[in-house]
Amino acid sequence: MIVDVNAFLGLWPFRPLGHSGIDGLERLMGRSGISHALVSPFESLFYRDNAVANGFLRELGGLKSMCPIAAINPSLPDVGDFLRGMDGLRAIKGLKLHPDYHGYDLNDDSAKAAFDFAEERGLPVIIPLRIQDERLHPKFAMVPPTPAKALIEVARLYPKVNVLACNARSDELGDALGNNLSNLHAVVSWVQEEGFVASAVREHGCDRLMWGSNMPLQYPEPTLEQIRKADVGSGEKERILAGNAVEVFNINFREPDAGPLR
Amino acid sequence: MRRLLRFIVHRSKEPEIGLILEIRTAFQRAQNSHIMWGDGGYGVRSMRIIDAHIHIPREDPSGVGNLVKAAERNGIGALCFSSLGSWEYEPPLEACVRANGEVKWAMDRYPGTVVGLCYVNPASGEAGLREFERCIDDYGMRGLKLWVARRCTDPSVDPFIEAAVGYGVPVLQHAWLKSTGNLPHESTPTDVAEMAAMHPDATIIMAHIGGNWEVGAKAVKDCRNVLVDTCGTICDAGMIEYAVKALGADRVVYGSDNYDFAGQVAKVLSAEITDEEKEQILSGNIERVMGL
Repeated sequence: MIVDVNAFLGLWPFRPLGHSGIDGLERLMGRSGISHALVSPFESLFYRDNAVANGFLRELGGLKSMCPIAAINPSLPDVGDFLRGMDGLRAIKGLKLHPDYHGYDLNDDSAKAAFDFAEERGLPVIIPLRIQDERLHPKFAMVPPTPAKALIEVARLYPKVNVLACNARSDELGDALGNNLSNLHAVVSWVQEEGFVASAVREHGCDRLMWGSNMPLQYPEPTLEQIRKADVGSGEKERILAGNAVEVFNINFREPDAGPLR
Repeated sequence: MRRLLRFIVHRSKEPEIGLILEIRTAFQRAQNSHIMWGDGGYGVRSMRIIDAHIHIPREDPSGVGNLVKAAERNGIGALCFSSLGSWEYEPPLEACVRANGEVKWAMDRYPGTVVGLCYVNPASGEAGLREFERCIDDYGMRGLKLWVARRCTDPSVDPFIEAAVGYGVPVLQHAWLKSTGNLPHESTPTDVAEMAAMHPDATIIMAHIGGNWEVGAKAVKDCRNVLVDTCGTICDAGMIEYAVKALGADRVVYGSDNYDFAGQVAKVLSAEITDEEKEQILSGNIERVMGL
């Protein structure tokens, strides 16, 4: 079993993607053996209405292979309504925040409200530090990455909320792991320096490592193969590729699907 | 194709022709089968993957051993190493000499696996040229590495390119087009295209597909003497396909730049191109260019 904790659906405005949409994601999952993907919408990066941006979640309710993640902009005025409305969405497995694209600080009151909500509902919070390499951003839309330090601070502030750092470089993941915060998880969703996975497991164990593809912007295989071919035991690989995510997101794959979203 | 060949075999009234086609089909199938996914490695049957772009680890030259071991685990049989020393942007000659010494040490320690590239700062002029000649003549290095000390269109670079042409060795030229801004002397893909036009007999490998790969591939499209390498942190879906479409598979080579071998090889293996094209990228092209 392989669980991808960092996948996206929707259209990317800056270049055509060969595998976007549910069909495209299913193709990528099928060819690389991914059994389940935690999926959020690209639209949430750009839209100014949380409900509209996350409208696709309803389509995912009936799909066994994809778990919906609500990607919210807590600085928008509709966030309260949206979050309250989420109570009815049984299948939602977590929140995703993009402080880089939405221009707020994780210490802001709005972000704290999102974390309060996550804490109350037992939802993990996924935070991609970036979506693409900042050197490739269109010049009119430069988006500086969220610093790893901000995730460490918020994870410390909310010890009951599992926080996932995605799309981070080796040094940023090292910072996240180095703080020994049991609720701060490092997601390998970026190509790291040779030997990173093995040395991270040696230094910090495998309990706080997970895998995410950043598909369909990236193919899943390059980052997946980093884990598969890493010089670590098969049990450790299993934890990174599935076990840790199953625990943190409280996913019971043997259960029938949670059913269509209301 | 296979179906078509089978059809011809079945339709053929000449048993000999049928047999030949049958053998050819089986051969093609066997040839294609050496690239595959799975936990048991890449299943490389006959192909030796060659890493065209890797550096001696900064501050730990002896770390080459770990890289060689990891490369072996990933089916990589040869690594084209250069050393950037302490990664100073404009290193003095002595630093380059030291860096090249590290590469020579690795070549001696891992013969047949480590292929050496000489690194110089073109601003070092005549003395730098002598160092390049020494690296080729005495050390047996197989190429020239240029980084960010000088833009590749700077006149100080010309004698080095001409010397590389004289030796028949390729030039691995760093290039990036960064929206965050390039370093003062950092070359862009357009610079590489200009350099290639000025030195039509040189063989140039533009690193990272120029970083911004859509711009990079298009910039050097018409420069038949420029190849691109696939290395670096950018793993965008469609990147390899784009380069192959713009340049042809014979102008794309695999490299890691010290990033995870499995991930970097998977960039190529997961691309939606033919197995023959993957083999060219992972091995054939760099063998051809470096005469390995």
